[in-house]
Amino acid sequence: MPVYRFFAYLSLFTFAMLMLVSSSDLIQLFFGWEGVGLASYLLIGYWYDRPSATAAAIKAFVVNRVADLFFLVGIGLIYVLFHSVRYEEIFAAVPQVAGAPYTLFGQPFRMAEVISFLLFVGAMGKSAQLFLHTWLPDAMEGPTPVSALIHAATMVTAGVFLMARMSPLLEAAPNTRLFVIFIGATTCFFAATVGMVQPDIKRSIAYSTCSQLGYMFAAVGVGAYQASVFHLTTHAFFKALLFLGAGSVIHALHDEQNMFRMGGLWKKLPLTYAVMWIGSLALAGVFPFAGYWSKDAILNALWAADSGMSHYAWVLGVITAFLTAFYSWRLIFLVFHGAPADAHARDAAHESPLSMALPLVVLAIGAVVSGIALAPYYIGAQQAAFWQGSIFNAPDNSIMETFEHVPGLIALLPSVVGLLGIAVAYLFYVARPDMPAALARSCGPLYRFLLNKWYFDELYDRIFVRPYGAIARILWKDGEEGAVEGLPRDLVQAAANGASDAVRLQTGSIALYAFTMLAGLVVVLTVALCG
Amino acid sequence: MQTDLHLFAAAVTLPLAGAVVAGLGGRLMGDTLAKVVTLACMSVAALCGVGALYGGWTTGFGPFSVPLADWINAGGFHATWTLRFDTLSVTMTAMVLCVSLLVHCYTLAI
Repeated sequence: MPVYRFFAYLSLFTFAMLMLVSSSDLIQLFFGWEGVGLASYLLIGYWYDRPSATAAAIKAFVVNRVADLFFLVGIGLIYVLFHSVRYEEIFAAVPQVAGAPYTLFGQPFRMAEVISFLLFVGAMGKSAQLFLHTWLPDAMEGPTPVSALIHAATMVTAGVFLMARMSPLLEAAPNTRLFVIFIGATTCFFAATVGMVQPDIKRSIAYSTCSQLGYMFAAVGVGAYQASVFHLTTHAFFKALLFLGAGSVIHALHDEQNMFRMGGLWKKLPLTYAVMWIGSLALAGVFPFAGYWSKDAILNALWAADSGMSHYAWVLGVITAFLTAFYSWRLIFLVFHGAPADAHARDAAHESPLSMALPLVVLAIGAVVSGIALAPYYIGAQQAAFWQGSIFNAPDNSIMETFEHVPGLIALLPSVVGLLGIAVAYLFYVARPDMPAALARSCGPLYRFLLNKWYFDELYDRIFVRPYGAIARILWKDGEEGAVEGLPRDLVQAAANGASDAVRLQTGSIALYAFTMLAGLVVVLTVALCG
Repeated sequence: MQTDLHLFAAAVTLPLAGAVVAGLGGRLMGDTLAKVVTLACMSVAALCGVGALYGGWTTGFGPFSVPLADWINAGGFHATWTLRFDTLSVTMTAMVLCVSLLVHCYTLAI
């Protein structure tokens, strides 16, 4: 398969993402948004001879289109309300027109709420939030570098970026932001529970991405956009590191992705082992790695926001911090420790070449220092001077000041539960390797519920995919083949039959023609004389 | 300041140049040259992106706009290709380009 296409797609993808982030109006942003969707379709389906890869590519494309419809309607409403799609004009006019009413199903809503909601649904699709997340794990069918690019730095971050970019509008929509917190926190928890039991190394990391994006949206919901962009940035480094490290493992084992068929690799892959530790420490939020700064900022902001919904998000966020540490070290222990499932594969494994090792080292440095280096600018004392108004906090939104003053114990709790998660993973997969299987047997229904990803795919299959398939089949068989194709065919058949019947009248016998003429003459005369 | 804006515009458009050259000409030039072209474009773009971030950091982020071209002009609706240079877009651009460059580099061996 020609490799040049792959590099062209990667660059195209990067360009689309840059177009998205550097746009100055919503139409240009939408261009980048769709460009990212197109490039992701091409990249996920790169191995087009694999049915599973093409199906995953189509799924990603279709799920994103569903969300994009909402986004497009949101842009349309913005044009109707603001008579412009340029950011500067929209943001300047928000205070005047945000309160305008909009009647939907007979209920009056504030226009700002409706628009923010529509934009958020668009962001949910791109950032794989609950209900529109189903494409993300399947996208792991693509090559590993694609996973690293799509699920770490680009594409999935587009939704969070959109929310940060539209912060002046979101600040005028408090009810929508409650919904954002709810979806973010629930996704965060949901994805972590599913990631905990996945056997596939890449899918496990994919669910982790989904979960971390949930944190970012929860932060957006409480108005701490700076914290969510900060987590987005640190996450880009350590998640790209984890994906590329996983790719290195998969490469060493000749395309083996099942973690239960790995084990004992740490002596064979020392560099990969070290960077996976660094990436996991950053992901779990252990001091002083990158994730510690950004995740703690988000959890503190959720606590400091002090509303019912934000406390709900904080509780789920802390539970998720535990689960995150657990599934990260589950991965490390299953892949690098314990007895190898296949000793030959383990002995044949070798470290990747320099061109693969170099990015791992650079990203590992990023995963260590990006948190401590950027924290003062992104969320700390200098944040107002750093952002220079590109992220807007309403005058009554003081979350960026108050989040630093949460009680010490509350601020410490995420780190404590993170370390607890590591300890539990050690207990389960190193000290007592028989425990996970016993636990899975004793909690069978729960285990299957998590293993089957809360049955979302099955549910969507029943609700949307199969009815759609049935309708499509009816339209195909009855509508197209029956009516559109069948009607002209039947007309032609009728004409041909009529002609062949008419031909039989002409026999060529003079006697018969003469008799017919005589009979006709008799009839005419009878009518003329007797009628 | 003008230099930063030019660097920013180059950072955004260079990956497109790499994609077009490698994607359309890849069949003629072969895989190796296509890899070199995209990697070179990405490296220069990443440097420009980081340079623009550094420039913005030292001299202020604006916001400024960098007009590139006219796009849609239909009735009352008007849209142009304009890049927005502010903290959010420049930090995101630098981050995306750095990670993307590393992913390109990683892919060389596959």
